[in-house]
Amino acid sequence: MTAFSEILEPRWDLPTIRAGETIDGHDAGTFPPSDCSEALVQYCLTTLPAFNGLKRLLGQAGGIFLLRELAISSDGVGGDLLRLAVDRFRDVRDALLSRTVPPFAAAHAAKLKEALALIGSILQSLEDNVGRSEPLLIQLRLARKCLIDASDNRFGMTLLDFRQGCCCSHTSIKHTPT
Amino acid sequence: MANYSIWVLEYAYVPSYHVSGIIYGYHNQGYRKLPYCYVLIKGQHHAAMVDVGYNHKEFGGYLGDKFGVINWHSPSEVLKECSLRPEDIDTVFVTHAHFDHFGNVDDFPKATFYIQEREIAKWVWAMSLPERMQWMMVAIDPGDVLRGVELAKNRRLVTVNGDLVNVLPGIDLHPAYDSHTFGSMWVEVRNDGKSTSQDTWVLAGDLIYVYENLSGSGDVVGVEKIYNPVGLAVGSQMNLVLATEAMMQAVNYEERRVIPVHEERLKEVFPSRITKDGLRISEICLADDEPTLVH
Repeated sequence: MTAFSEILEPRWDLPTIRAGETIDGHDAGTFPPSDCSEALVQYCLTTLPAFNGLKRLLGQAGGIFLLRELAISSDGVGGDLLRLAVDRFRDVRDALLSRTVPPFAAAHAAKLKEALALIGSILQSLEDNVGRSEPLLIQLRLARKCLIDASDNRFGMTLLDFRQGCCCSHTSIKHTPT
Repeated sequence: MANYSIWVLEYAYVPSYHVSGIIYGYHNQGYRKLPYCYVLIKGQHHAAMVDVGYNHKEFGGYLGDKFGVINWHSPSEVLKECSLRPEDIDTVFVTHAHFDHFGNVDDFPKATFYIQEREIAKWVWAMSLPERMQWMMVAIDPGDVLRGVELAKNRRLVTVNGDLVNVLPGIDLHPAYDSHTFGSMWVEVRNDGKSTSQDTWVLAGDLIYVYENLSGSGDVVGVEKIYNPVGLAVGSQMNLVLATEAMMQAVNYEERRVIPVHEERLKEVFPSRITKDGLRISEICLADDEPTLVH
């Protein structure tokens, strides 16, 4: 069976991220609210699955970390949680790195890659079971910040989908760009 | 003798919420106001909360713009009406991990949070499922996992495995597995402190939204009244009905003692007032010597 580290390492060509650091030249990941060009819509629609994958990976990595902090056994939870997370990581990584990003979306794509790098690093630490909790927590916060920065409600790129929420008013999104 | 005072504190509301989401099977019956509330329990040298609301700082604009949640006020503003600060809260019982109940832990820096272990464990499991199965993740904010991690790291998150008696003196926690969520929990306050209490209050979380969930029309099965479960069950409506029976049993079937926090008509059952911010305080009971907050 392939070790997680072997899955993560070979194609690992993303920049190393340290706490509090952003990728040079890419400190903003959002689009102007007035921009509703076809190219932007196309980019966002094709990016949405990867965004959702990252969102879920963030929850998975944080969740595995949380179970460990609480000393809750994952035996009865269902499935090998770390294996499932690494499998998803691989899919998201391949989707993000294999596509051509239009120049206007470079900052947005960089935010997603930054989140990917951080989550990959977290999974690596969890797999190795060596990471101290404070750096892991910082990485989780940074990854979440990246995803918040890259959120765009107009295209459903949000960390939390309220449309199905028990206490939301179930109003569909009615944004009409002007 | 009453050991605790209990208040339901509104912190925001949805003016028009579809009734079919509140009561299972009530289709095409219009909309009603749905208050967002948490509960303050004060007494025995403790200030405890049942749930903490959602994090307006990150999602407030989105909620307000898109989903009609309005008039959000911070715990500082809401608790000030009770002469308390968020820092005074020492204990929080999290009935379930939905964003509007567990999303605002940051505002309670000194509290220890109690949640069912199953709620956490299955939450993590659900996140690992394929996208086509993500309905189970409704109303879950991945960011709240991070808040859970921070609480756990600081030893302020306590996971409960089933029933827990006397978590505070006279206060018990009970699970309702696979009901509204994987590990929902309700809170029983035995206000006379006795093990077989004659003065029990139940804080129902989202196991009960409104009074119809406790006593709805039984036309569908040809009886007068039935438990009519809430619209959303990640588990099952059957388990919601069983949880309702357990809660009603705890209060000896005295319906008014089961407190549904999303019920606007609490103001018709309990002394209440509207604050200067347009939010309601409902006074469920008062401890001995505790002054009223609603006059």
